[in-house]
Amino acid sequence: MAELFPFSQVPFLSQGLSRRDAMAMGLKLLGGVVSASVLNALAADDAQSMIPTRDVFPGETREIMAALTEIVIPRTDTPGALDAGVPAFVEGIVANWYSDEERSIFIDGLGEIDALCGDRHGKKFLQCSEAERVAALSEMEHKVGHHRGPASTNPFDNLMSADPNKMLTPFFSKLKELVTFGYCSSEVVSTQVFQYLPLPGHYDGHYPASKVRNNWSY
Amino acid sequence: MHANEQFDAIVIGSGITGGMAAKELTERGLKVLVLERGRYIEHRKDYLHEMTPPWKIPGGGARNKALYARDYPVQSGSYAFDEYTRHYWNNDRENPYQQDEGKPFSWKRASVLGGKSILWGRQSYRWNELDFEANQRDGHGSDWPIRYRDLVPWYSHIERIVGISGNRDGLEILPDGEFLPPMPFNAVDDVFKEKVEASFPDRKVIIARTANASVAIDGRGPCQYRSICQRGCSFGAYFSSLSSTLPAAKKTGRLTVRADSVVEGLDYDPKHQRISGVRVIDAKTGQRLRFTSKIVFLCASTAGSLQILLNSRSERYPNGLANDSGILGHYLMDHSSQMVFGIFPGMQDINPYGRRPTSLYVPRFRNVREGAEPLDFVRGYGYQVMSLRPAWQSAALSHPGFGAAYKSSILKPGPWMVVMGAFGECLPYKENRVLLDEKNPDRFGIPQVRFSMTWGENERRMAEDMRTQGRAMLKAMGTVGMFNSTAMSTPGDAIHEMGGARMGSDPGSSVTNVHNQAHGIPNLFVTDGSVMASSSCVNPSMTFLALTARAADYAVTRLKAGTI
Repeated sequence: MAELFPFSQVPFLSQGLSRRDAMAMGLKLLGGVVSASVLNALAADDAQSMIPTRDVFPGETREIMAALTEIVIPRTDTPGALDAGVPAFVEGIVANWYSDEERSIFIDGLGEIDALCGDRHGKKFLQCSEAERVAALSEMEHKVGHHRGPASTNPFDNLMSADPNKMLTPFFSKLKELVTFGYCSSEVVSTQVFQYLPLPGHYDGHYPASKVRNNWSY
Repeated sequence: MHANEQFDAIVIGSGITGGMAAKELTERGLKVLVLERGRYIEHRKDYLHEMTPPWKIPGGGARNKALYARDYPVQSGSYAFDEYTRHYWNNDRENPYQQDEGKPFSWKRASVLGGKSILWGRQSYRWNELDFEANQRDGHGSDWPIRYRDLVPWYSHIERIVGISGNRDGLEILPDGEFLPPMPFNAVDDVFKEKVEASFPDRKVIIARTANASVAIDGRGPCQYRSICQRGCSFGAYFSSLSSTLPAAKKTGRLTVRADSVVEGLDYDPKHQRISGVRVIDAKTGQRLRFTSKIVFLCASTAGSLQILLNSRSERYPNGLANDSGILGHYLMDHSSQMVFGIFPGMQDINPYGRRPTSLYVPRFRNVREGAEPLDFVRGYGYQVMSLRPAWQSAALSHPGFGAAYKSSILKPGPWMVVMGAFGECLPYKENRVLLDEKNPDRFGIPQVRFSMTWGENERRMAEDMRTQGRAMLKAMGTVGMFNSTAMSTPGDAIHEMGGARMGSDPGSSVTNVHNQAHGIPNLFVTDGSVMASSSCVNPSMTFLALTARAADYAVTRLKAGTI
């Protein structure tokens, strides 16, 4: 067992504290005890959490998917989906976690938006202008509104719900959900857009929101 | 471990009660073998994802639904189940159980050393005088052979070991214990307490009492306010068998732990009227082993212990060990639960620093006073009340569209939500039971557990009141957009299963006696949830622990006196 930790002497304000600093501090607080979890967190390897086990994006669909992620969450004064590595996140889930049925809905949706661009503009999605692409995705979102059945516009019905019937949400819901998860859980967003706080050390239930950069991440 | 090593005691199960039994027995000088059906893990070393950041956990916190549907359809329903904790849980595909048609039962199980004590919700309460008298007063179930005063010293004893942060509120309905400093309120908690106590003079709002060390205790803690306890805590800030009791037992030099050890049954020696051996199947090799000891503590969880007792049949006990009464497996209980939540429109300028690993608590206020207005149900319920500002996962729910506007909407915290979760006392009904399913053996050849449990009319009426009163309290505090559960919860979902080997003075209507000792088998003690004769409405672990420590003290005294 470790000794008592001298917490009162440790400055816990983690404003600007990097993840690695925080973890190193955690290690110190643990009296140098090495656990798998700390090692894992300290490891230099910041690679993707999921490596796709198969290629599930035929033709131009991978490129269409990547472009769509940036349309859902574009770069503004903060990083966008591409900066956050969202396409790789999406590919990991679609390849490794989705059921065959869910995967079909997602891949078919990419084909559908490509076809929609053909109908409306006589061009492939990738040849369309930014405005045309946005219009096409809006049209896809509009279709969700008319969707009936187990799916809904709730973007998190699929990945967070325990209800297996919610797995068949339509393409737009799946896309928005995947992009939001991939974006908000990414390293750049967790640590630079949100205020990363892995080791708070105490609780202040009256902390002013104005002192927090956007929101906390943990 | 040597092949013929002799033990004074065998403890079956390493969860919250098995760990305490191991500690109490070894510290009183006994040589103890702990058998655990799950795999071996170590404090700190095996908390695999404790410090994994969101960008390194597969799926960024999302649910791998196809996998869960296949391998974890039951376990994945728990609030504590996700990719950070999945490695601690039972694989449902490999460990099936049966449920009676139309009577779903949700059996949550861990698959590691330390059992559910790694994953538990940590709310820690004493029962009160009323709880132990309830069966006698209203005639449901059988009378307890003990009263609150019998457990008081044992509650104090285990509370000093567990380390419970809480306030001494001075309430008869929720007796105070040996507490570490309470955790603080947040800004919305303040409003809830003020408005509810002003509008409802019969109700109190307190900080929940939780097994998190708010200050360091015995080399554990203090709490870091991460609220990720169920991943395992390298700071040892929450109480578990791994962080507290097993290390204490190990320190005596008298503890042996054998994981991957599935207990098939207990051998009964009719000549000496004793348990003569514990039959084990090695989960990895399939090898059959037998261990012997002077006494046995059965702490395998409510349904797990019942399965072992029912499967230990002999000429003397053809219907299961210690089952002269015929009630072994019967009177199964769990808390029923309801949820009410609302959005609190104020306090938008507050975003708490840190995450407090506990909630507020509204102790029972129903059927408490003599002569009060009669209700259409007996007994009562309490609420855990959580005020929080959800991050992007929920903030995004209410934001349609995509693009820059959508993006900025998910980066800020959502409005405050106040979530009230009620646990209600469940009456003991004979027809609610655990039995063996002979037609469906598990992968070890042991008959699977079959559950047959439904709520009664009292639970339904009480649930209606939980919803109504929850909404009334949220209304009093000024929440908007209220929502409440409407269906009854699934039995088992509270993970507070109790009963089946209830304590009682009469061997004709109970399985265990006043000392948790099986009637007629002096060297067998059962000290987990299966011995409960009623369920109270408070979270049960502290009472399991107090009973365990008390039984261990008795067992060692009698063993040393040569009367076991």
